[in-house]
Amino acid sequence: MTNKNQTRRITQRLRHVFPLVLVVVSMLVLAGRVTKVFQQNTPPPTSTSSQKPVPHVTYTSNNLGVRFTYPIQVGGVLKYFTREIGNRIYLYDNYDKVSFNQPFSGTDADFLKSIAPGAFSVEVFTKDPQQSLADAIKQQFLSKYPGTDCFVHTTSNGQLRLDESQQTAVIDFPHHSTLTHEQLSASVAKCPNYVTAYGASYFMMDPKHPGKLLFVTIGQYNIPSGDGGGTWDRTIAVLQ
Amino acid sequence: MKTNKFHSVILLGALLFLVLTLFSKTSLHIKVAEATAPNPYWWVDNSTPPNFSQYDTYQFKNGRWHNPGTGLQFYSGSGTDSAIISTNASYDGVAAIGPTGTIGDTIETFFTSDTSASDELEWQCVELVKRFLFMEYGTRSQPANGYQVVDTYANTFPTMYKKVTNDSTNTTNQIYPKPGDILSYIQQPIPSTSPVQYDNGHTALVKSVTNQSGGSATVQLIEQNASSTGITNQTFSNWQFQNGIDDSASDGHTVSGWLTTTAAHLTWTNQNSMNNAHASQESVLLPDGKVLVVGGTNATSVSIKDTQLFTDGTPGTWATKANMNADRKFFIMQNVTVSGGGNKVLAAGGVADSPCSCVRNTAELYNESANTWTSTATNMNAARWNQASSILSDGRVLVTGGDSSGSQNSTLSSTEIYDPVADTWTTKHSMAGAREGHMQVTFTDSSGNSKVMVIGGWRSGGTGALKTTEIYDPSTDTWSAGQNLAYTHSWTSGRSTTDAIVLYDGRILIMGGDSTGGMNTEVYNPATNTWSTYVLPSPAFAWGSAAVRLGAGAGYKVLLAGNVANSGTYGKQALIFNPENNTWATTTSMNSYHGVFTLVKLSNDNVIAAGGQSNTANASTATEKFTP
Repeated sequence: MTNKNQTRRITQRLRHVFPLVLVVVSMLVLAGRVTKVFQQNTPPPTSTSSQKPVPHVTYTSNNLGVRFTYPIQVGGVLKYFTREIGNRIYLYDNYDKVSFNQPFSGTDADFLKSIAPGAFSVEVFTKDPQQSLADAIKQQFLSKYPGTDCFVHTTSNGQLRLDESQQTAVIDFPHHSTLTHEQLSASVAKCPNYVTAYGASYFMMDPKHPGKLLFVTIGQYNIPSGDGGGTWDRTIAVLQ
Repeated sequence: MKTNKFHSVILLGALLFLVLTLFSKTSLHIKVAEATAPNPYWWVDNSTPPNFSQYDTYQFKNGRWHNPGTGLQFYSGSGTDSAIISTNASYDGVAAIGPTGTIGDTIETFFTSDTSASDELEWQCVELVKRFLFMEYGTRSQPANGYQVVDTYANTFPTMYKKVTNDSTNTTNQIYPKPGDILSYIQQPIPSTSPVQYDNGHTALVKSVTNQSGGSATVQLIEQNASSTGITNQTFSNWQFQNGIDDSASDGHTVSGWLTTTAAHLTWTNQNSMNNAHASQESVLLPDGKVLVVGGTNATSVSIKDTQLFTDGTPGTWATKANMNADRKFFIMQNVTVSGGGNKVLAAGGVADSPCSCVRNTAELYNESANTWTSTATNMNAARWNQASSILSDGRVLVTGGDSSGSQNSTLSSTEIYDPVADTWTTKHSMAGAREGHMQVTFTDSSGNSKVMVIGGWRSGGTGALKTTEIYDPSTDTWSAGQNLAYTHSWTSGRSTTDAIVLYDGRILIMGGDSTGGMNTEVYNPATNTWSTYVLPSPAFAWGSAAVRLGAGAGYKVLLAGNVANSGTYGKQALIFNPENNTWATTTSMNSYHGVFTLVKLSNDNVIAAGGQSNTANASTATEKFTP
């Protein structure tokens, strides 16, 4: 008898509780689905350090006193190579039909004519260690150009190099987003070659080695370093 | 009584709420899917919340949000100025975005893409066309500035794309561009600086081509980082583009050419037939790009020792090569690197039809340059057929299971490893359970270690296909239980005679092996140690199909072709799995019926299909080539 009563009481309690349980379960199900949908569409972490390392090599120029890391292959096919000519190191791929994916075997003159224009590069200059980055750029590259046409824009927020151990700057010119292509090109023509209108390039100085000024040419795209640490140019280091 | 009625109402309401909740799943998914912008998931910026880039704003406007690691966070969309440039500046769901270019905002953000692609800059002209080529064809972003895009993609993926040079003096270039084609602009005349200082040129996407007549047409382009509207009409007359960027005759650039898909794109092209028929044969791609096809059964379903070599061409051709020392069907074959570094092909085990149902314990190596088959120094430790194999990370070959009886009543759990450098077979720890007709792949686990997974199969005396998996650790010579397959069906609880492919991102895709003609495929994710099920479009695949992973140009998608359906009918059908969104799509069917056949990706990313069972169940000689 006692057992029967207990059973009845439990049954009655369950009848009271069941609808509530159903509502709670439904809400949990709904919440779970919404969360799941959100998660499915959530972009991956934004930190560049989350990149998976791929086979890469480090190029060191004792002559110019710089080094950087680059991947052996990008895009599943194209391979990357280096060539040092004068004060400039080129990082390039070779998509030419005849010598596809092979190091360029021609002379330096041929390289400069055919490969260099589309290559990444680091150009190394010397500067007065006491001079700021902006002053050095003005003195070496802008002395013949009116300041209204071309001027130094320092990227103190480190937008080009996220590690703020390096100082970076670009030679900029008056422009805004409504300029036509022709107008933009005309403005660019008033400045030295160290301006990149359609693409990216920048000057860089390592405060620990202020006697050097680097010009980094990128272009309209970039490639990873391969070591999982972002783009190749972020690995550029001044050695001496 | 009132209380009871009240409870009934509450109960009914709760049930209704539950039902609505369950059904709401579909509508939620559809809503989000519709709102999701057409971007690759890895098209990721490197800004750190709460700083929002133009990309973040674009994502926000397209219904996305991101998780900075501390929980859900919706984009505020403030402080940035990016948007789809105009409502018409899009093609096939891919929109031009911008603008860029105020002082100090030269380039705000580097996109850090997946490790197999180049990084794109916000919002350069090349970002749009590379995003389009990825979304449309799966092609991984290739390193190229605007003036290089056409040449780079055409030369890197010649079977998928070709360049039409913007020079109508050559009559082969007298064709109209079509929507989806890509233009490259190069600076002209070539500057006289030394070294030459080109600018980076420009690239744009053809949105529409109308009024084609006499070599003239109205060509509308969409583009980034050029026109303020993202749209421009480019003069096309006398079979070529006449002006520079934004149709300006004086801007200093010319169109160098346009990128278009090849005529063979997504088609099957018949090749020369095999010299004799093979079904249930084994095949490998040799290092020189040729395809070796060996053994199996002939047109009368008798085991053979024949060897043939396919050389790609227009059309591709077959050459008969030296026979194996023993006829074999249901054996294993792998490329191996032998002592001294040379490549040979290992064929091991299998079963013969005549003079007996002899199960082989022998193994032999094919030397392509000498055209010889030579027995390995020792035989396998167990005679086995219907076994599986895969190459370990150190180049050795792990062989598992199979059956030691010609009448298929002695399924094996034993395993052994062939060391091609030492030319030895060594017995290894057995699996926990016997299995044959199973799949085996070498993969990388969540800790970065190379492991082997055996999947499904069946065993003599069992009730049907297995749903179990086991994982082998070569470093410790140990087996452990893996996650069971997710999908079950009415016949049994597992799969046998399936196809298994390691996807580019490390997951494992298995297809078919469901004798009820199942339409489910499964993907194992080593990072989460889980299986997920994805449904095939019809028709169902049972067994006898074959699968290959396509190349970077085709986005590492998986081609699944051929079939022996549960009803005993044979299939020509072909499907493609896109690992980016885990979806299957039907593609062009093969010209001939193929089941239990050769399907090999060539070094130029084309795929060769050859032999197998035709629709009469007889072994076939038909050969055809798929251009992805």
